[in-house]
Amino acid sequence: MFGAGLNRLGRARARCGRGARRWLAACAGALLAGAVMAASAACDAPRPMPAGEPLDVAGWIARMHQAASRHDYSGTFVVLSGHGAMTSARIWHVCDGEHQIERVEQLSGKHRVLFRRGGEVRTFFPNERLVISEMRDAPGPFPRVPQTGGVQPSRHYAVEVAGQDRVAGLDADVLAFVPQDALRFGYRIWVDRASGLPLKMQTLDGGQVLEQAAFSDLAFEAPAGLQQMARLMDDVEGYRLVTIPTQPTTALAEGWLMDEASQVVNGFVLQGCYKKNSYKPLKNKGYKVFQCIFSDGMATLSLFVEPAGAQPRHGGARTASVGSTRIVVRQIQGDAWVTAVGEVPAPTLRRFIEGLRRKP
Amino acid sequence: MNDDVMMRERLSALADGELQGDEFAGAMVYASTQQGQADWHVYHLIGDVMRGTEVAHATHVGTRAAHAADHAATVDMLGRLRDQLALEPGPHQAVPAPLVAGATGTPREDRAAANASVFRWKLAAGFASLAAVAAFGWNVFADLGAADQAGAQLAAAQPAGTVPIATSTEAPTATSTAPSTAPSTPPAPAAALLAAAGGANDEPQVMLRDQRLDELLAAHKQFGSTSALQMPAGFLRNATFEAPAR
Repeated sequence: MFGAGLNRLGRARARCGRGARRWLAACAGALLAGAVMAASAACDAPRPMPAGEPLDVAGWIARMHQAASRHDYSGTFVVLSGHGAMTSARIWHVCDGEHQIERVEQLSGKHRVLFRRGGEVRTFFPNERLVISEMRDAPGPFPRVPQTGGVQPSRHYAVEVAGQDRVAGLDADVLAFVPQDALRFGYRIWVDRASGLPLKMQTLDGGQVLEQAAFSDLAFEAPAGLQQMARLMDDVEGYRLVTIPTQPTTALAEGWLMDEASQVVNGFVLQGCYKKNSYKPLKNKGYKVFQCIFSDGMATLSLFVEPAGAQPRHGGARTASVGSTRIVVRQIQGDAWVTAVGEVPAPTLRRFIEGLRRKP
Repeated sequence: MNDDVMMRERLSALADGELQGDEFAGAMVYASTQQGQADWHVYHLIGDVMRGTEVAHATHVGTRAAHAADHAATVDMLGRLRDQLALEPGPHQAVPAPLVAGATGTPREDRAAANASVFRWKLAAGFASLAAVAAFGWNVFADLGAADQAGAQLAAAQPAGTVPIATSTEAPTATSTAPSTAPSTPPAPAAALLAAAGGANDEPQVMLRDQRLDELLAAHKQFGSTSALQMPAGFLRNATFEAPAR
C-alpha cells in the first residue's frame, strides 16, 4: 500500500514534467494528492505478521512499537498493581500521515485528560480548570523513531511464544520475555496477532506478577479524526494554561560525573538528561533537580539528582515501590539527594546511584 | 495589565518566603484583595495538581461564592483530618495548633501591612487568629517548609487518594550488596505508621506518602518511562498511585 502511494507520486511528477505553465495548479494538486496518498498509506489497517523466520526480541519490540504508532485505535485500558490497586482509562489514538495524537482520559480517581502530540504532553484538569503543558522532545517526523537509542535488548532478554489467547475480543499470541539476569524484570505480553498491538502486559519478578496492564476492550478506529483531536487539544477556553519548559542538559553540565551506563548495568544506555526550568509554585528554596533517563530497550529508569543545599528529604533514605516501579532514595556526597526510579529491581537502581559522583 | 503580572510575581515570591520590607507589605495588601486571593489559590492549586495531590473539592477560581465554598470545604477537611489523627495510635508530633485552630477563622480580614519578621514570628509561635493562613489555605505550611513533618503526617492520614507507596528505610551505606536491615526508629512522627519491616531484602511493608516523591514519580512515568513498547501504560501508572492499596 505504501508502494501504491509512491507510484502515484511518481506518475504525478511525470505529468508535471511536461512543463506547461497553465497545468501548474493541476500538477500541484496531483502532487499533493500523491503525497497525501503516500503519507496516509503509512497509517492504515492492521498489517499481518511478516512471513519467514520467527522474530527475535528486537523484532517483536519493533512490531509492537509500529503497531502502537501507526494504527487508529480506541479502547478502555486497565492497570492493576500486584497489591490489588486498580485504575482505568479510555484511550484514543489517531494517526494520519505524519501526525499522531493520543488522548488518555483517566476514568478512576482524579479526572484528567491527557493529550500527547509530538514531544508535548498536555494535561487537562477539568475540575480545577487547569491545563498543564510540558514539552520534552522536539517533535520528530513520522514514523517516530523508537525513543530508545543504542540498545540491544536481544542480548538481555530471550523471547518465546508461550501460547495463544484471546484478549479484548481479539486473538493474541502470548510472548514471554525472559530476562537473562536478575537485574531486570520479565514480561508476559499478549500481542494482537493481526496487527502486533500489545493488548496486555504483565511485569514479572520471577513468577510473581508485579503489575498488569491491559485493554479490556479495543477497536481499530477512533471516535474522532486527527483534526478534531487537535482541536480538542488546542481548546483551552476557560482553562488556565500553564507551560512548564524542559531543557536538555548533561550530568556534566550539572556538575556530576556518571559512570558509563553499560559499565554500571550491562545493556542500559543513557537516553538523555533533562531539567525543568523552575516554575515558581513548585519551587521551594533550593529545589533544583535534573533527571537522567536510561533504558535497555524494555525497561526504563530515571535518576533524579538534587544538588547540595536541597531541602532535607522527608523520610530520609529509603526504598519504595509502586506496582512494578521501584524507588530508591539516597543521600550522597554531602547533602545532595539522589532518587532512582524505574521498572527494575532495587539492586539495579542502587548500582546506578553508586555510579554517580560529584565533579571535583 | 503589567501591574497585574507584577503583582502575581510578587505573590509567588511571597509564597516562597522571598519578600522583605516594602515588597512584602505590598504583596500582603494585594493578597487581601479578591484578585490576589484568586491568584494565590491558583498557584497552590497548580502545585497540588502537579504533585498529584487530591484536591478535596472542585472549585472554580474567581468567584466569591466559590471561595466561600472552598473555604468551608477546607475547614471541613481539616476537621476530618484532625479527627483521623486523634484516632491514630502511637506518638504524634503535635500538629501545629494554628493549622487547625485557624480553620475556624473568617476567610478574609482587613490587615495592616505587617513587616516580615513579625509575620514569621507569629507563624512560628502559632498565632490564633490565622486570618492569613485561613485565607491562603493550609498549603502555605507546606510551602514555607515549616511543617514538613506535619504535612506528611496529615497526608498519611488522608482517607482517600493516598499514594500507595510501600516503603522501608534504606540502610545509609555505600555498599551495594548489603541488604537493608530492619529499620532503625525514624524520628519522624509518621514513623508511627511504619510497620516493622523486617526481612533481609527490601520488600516494602508500609504505606507512606511523600509529595516530592510524587513529583519525581510523575516525571519518570510521563517522560522517562520510554518503554520501546510505547504502551500507554506509562501514563496510566500515574493513576495507580491514587488508588488505595489493600
